[in-house]
Amino acid sequence: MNELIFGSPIGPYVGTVLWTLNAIVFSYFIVLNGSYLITSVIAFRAVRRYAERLRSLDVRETIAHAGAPPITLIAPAFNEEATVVESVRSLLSLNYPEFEVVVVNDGSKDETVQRMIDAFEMRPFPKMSTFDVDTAHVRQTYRSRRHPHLWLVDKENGGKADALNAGLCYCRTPLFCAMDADTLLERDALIRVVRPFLEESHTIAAGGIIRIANGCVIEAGSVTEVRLPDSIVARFQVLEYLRAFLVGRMGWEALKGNLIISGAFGIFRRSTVIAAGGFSTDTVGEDMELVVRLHRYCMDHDLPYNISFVPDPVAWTEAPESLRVLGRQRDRWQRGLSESLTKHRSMMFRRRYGRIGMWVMPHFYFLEMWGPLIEMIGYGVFAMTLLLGWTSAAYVSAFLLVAIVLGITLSVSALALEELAFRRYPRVKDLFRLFLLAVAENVGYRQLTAFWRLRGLVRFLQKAEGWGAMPRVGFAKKTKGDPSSGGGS
Amino acid sequence: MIPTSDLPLQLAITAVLVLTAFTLSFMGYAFLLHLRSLRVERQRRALEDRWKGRLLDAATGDSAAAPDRDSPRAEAPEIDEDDRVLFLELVTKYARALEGPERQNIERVGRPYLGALDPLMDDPDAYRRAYALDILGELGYEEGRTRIAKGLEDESGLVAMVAARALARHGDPSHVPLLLSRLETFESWSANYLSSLLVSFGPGASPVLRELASDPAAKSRFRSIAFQALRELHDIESVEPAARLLPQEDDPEVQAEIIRLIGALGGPGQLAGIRPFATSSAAHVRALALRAISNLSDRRTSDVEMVSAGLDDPSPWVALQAAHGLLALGRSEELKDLAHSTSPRAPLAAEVLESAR
Repeated sequence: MNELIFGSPIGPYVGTVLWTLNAIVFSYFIVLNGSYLITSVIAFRAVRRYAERLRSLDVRETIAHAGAPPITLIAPAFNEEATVVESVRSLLSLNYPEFEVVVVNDGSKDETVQRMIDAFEMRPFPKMSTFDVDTAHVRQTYRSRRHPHLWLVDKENGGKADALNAGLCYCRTPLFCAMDADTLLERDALIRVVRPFLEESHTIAAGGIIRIANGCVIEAGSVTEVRLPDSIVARFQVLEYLRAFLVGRMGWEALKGNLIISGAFGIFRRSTVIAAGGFSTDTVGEDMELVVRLHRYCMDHDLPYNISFVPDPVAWTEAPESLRVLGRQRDRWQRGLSESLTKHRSMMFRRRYGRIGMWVMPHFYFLEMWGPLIEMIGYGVFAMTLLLGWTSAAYVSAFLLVAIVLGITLSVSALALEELAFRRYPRVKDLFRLFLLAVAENVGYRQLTAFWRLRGLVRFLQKAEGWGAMPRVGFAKKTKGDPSSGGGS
Repeated sequence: MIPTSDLPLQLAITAVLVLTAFTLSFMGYAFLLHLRSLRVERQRRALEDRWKGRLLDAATGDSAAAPDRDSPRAEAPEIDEDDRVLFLELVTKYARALEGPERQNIERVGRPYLGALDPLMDDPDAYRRAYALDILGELGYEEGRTRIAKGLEDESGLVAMVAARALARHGDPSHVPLLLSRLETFESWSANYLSSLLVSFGPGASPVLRELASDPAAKSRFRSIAFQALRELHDIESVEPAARLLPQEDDPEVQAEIIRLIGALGGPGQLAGIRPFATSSAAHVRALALRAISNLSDRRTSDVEMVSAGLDDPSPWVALQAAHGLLALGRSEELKDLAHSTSPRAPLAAEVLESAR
């Protein structure tokens, strides 16, 4: 084969291309993993300091004596009849001095609205919009007779960003929380996540950590016992989430370079978000796009600002347990990331955007957005190089081994951070399982996620739209003693 | 066979070995942390099991666990030296949940062991200092007052805030001047937080706050915080001087806080100073001015017209205040007409009327 290719007229070109691709893949590997290692070290220090800080300052007591800013929880709901009542009950039981809940029915085709009306005695109640933005038509606003701080906005379908904008129209508090209707917030999550707004008056956004509820024991809308999921697919995601939040977000937080606040749980200053134009409806990654735009808006207008990640307020979410659904989710995340970065790529390498423009955006653009493409090319190029006899199996094996061990190191460091500060998985058995997963994910799962991300990138380049269905089982089933809960193993 | 003389390969093998060593160390570290956390938790639980009943008895004054006020050490329970800080943490947890005499009883249980905090107070780590000061503030305020006040001068903003909150909890206004002189340390904290901290000192803090509020040389942010605190303290005495200052104020935040103060505590006599702000360029100042006018007005036509005009303000917040204002001025008929009209403000009128039902 070697002779066949190099004996032909295109032989020298093939050699040059392969050499170039090898160099790109190798450089990408070094830069990406170097940045991950640096972020891990920074995150380690940040988490340790944060744990000490938590010990020295009782957050509940802080709020009890402070002017806690009122918050509106905006929960878009689309076909959530199975979970909406349970989720709203859970929201109403949150421990926070002053908050409103605005559930936005985004044109559900099921009984979401009727379930809300029946369960909470919602009645039509006029409310004026305070945000001049185009949204899909709002049919009716409702207020609960039993819980006057519970509102329902019934509107035609327009997507999550549109629903969040509709919720913002009826938000009257200085802060709002953007979340998913099926997210379970821990009772003191708001108290904890609002801390940056008290300590740093220029804070415009703060996000908490998202954890996976699959396998946990859930009673009355609260996670009462934390366990690993039974499903191996969901277990891999536990590890991924720990790595993404404790290493990634915490590291970027320490560098003041956070570009993402999860759409499942983030608190924002209403006035700044409205001034920046609200949520963008032309992307599937409205959460990241908003954060990037907030950076841009504040720097364009020379406004002092702070965007924080807080690692202890927890929002529990249901992770997909089938590869098909997970693949769709990762595809969408990659499209969202690519759309947000491409939309604001003019921020890159411009001094006026400070560290965000000079190295955070380039990092995400070149390494996270184009990364899956380079990674997949890498697998192909390595195979080709090996087939052509350009390198020995020993080289390729050594390189792959470095990549795998590096992956394990990063995952295990995330577990160490979890143990250092939060220790949410109390069983030693679960810790060992997570160690094993850190090894196992490198064979198969990691390549699969790279493939899904690549598919997302390709679909972004093809300008594909839509979220893809994300069927929910619902938390209500996962109650203690329920054999269907999957939490008893 | 691996050609070990090959440099790139050697580098790769070294990298694998180093990373494996790191991974194993992280694993060991995570595992040890897990075991340590389990041990501390067990220790904490054992301590709590051992002391829960006695602490609750002590709180209700039923037990010898609460030593006599005059000779605290004589009947104090014996706690191992290693457990004392944890014990104090436990007592603090209970103290925070209680009030009145029960709380004082609990505080007395912890008091003999406060000496265990001394090494932490001088620790180079600010978090440990803050932790110790927090417990001292809860359990040993009387004895530790000077030490806590000194915490205000700590180089760490966190320690200074813990000290400020400890002093505020006990509401001794004699510390307010020192706290105000250190406000720069808390510059980044939110205005609401700082104002509620000042309010915790009680009405005794008002004279110093009045001084700060009327000091033109002070930072506008601190002055508006002082006005906010005075309003929350219902300090009537500050209204007249504030009304005199209002026409000369340039800063919209200070203007807003003065108008809120007058609107909440003032009378019709101060209205003349507020009316010009109904056309301020800052929307929040306009909104507050309309609210103050509708609160204080004797329902004269010119005021009603001014408030009514606010319904057409481009800011929805001003319009909202105007609608509430019209209701307060007894003009619900006007709102009803608006609610049944095709005006873009019809939903606002309907909302305000519905809320009033």
